[in-house]
Amino acid sequence: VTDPPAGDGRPIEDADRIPTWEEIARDHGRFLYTVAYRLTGNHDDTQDLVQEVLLRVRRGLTTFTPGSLEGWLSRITTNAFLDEVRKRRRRPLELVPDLPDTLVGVDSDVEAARSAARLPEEIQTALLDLSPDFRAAVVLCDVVGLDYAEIAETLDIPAGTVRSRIHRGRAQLRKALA
Amino acid sequence: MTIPTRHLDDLISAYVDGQLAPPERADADAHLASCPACRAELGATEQAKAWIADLPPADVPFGFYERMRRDGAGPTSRQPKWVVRLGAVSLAATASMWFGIVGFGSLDAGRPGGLPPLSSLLNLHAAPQAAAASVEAAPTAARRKAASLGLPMELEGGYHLTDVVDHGSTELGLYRAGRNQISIGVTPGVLLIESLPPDTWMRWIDGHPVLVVPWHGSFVLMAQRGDTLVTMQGPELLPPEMTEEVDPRTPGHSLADRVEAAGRGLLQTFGLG
Repeated sequence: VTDPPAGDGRPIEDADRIPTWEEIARDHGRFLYTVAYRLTGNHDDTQDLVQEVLLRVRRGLTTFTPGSLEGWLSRITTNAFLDEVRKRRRRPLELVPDLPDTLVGVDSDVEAARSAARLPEEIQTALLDLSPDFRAAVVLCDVVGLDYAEIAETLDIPAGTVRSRIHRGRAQLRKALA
Repeated sequence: MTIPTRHLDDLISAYVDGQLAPPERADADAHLASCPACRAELGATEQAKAWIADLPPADVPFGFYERMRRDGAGPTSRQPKWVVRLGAVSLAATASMWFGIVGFGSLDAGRPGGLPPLSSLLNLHAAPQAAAASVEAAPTAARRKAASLGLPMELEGGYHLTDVVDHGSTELGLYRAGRNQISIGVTPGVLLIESLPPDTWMRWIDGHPVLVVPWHGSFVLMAQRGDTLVTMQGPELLPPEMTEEVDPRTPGHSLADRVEAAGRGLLQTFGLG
């Protein structure tokens, strides 16, 4: 066997390099599963969603750009999720008016609520009570860590709408978890 | 200092997320300094964000990968498309392409991952190697080389090693059973996503990902073993009956079945899966 040049064939620790397919499976499988689970809330739908994502991944392998692997996977996951939601409803995604939100009332228990711990199951349940498009925005922001511009691009909505959905989603979470 | 009188409303989430431009943020800071309601809203919004952001990663259920393997790489409704495409290729046309995952010259040292664009490798696939391959059992030197590479002397289905050919960075083991040939390549390097053709697909076999690269009517299977890429091409992916319009719904005859069988053989050969 011809020896490869020094440094070749070995993992290179460089955030900007393009990862291998094996690294996606090995290093990002759980992340992918987690994002899918936050969106669907149950393991059966999560596994279906992950499988659909893999299908899209292999079709879109060449569209990947370095440095945003988890963002790229998350975009595919979120869009696959919303596509499935639309398909199940057989009608356009529910029309939640994206009007500017009014200030959520500040109640006297806010301070108490802030310090109260919540079980992951409670939080996941509250997340599932959000409409799918609000949930997608919140998950992309707080689970994946995308910025508003990236979320806007992923969901194909204006940045102002992203802000509104995230804020209203959080307001509903607070109400549910109060 | 002018204190904005309007409440921040959904700007509070943008504030918490660090998504306000500096002037907006300065305005928001000024407002917050004077507005207890928005300060309380800010705290509650931070809490709501933390609830989600601090959730632990989901537990992947036991058997997840196994289930993916069993269910296949995609919805079954997509499989007939491949079979139709495969069926349109004549055995004669593909036979000459089964002979070799051919090396592609020197590795590009400047390229992360260690492999040049895969198209180079795949283009060389079509180079006829049949004449060069002996039908006799491999000479001792080739058998020693195979052993050093971890290549088996025999494969399931009556295939025996006939030669190990050095194609630069790729060592290629050639196996024969009758007129059928299987080739298994060993190439140092790590496969890069960008190098794959767009119609590449992935299949989970025994919990291990195997890439399936359609190429000239046949398929090349690829698996990463550490710093080495192992590849395989051969008639397991296209049985002789293919020219006889075999119903792909016959058990064992769907493309998915054949890919899985061949992929499992590749993985087991190299101790994967």
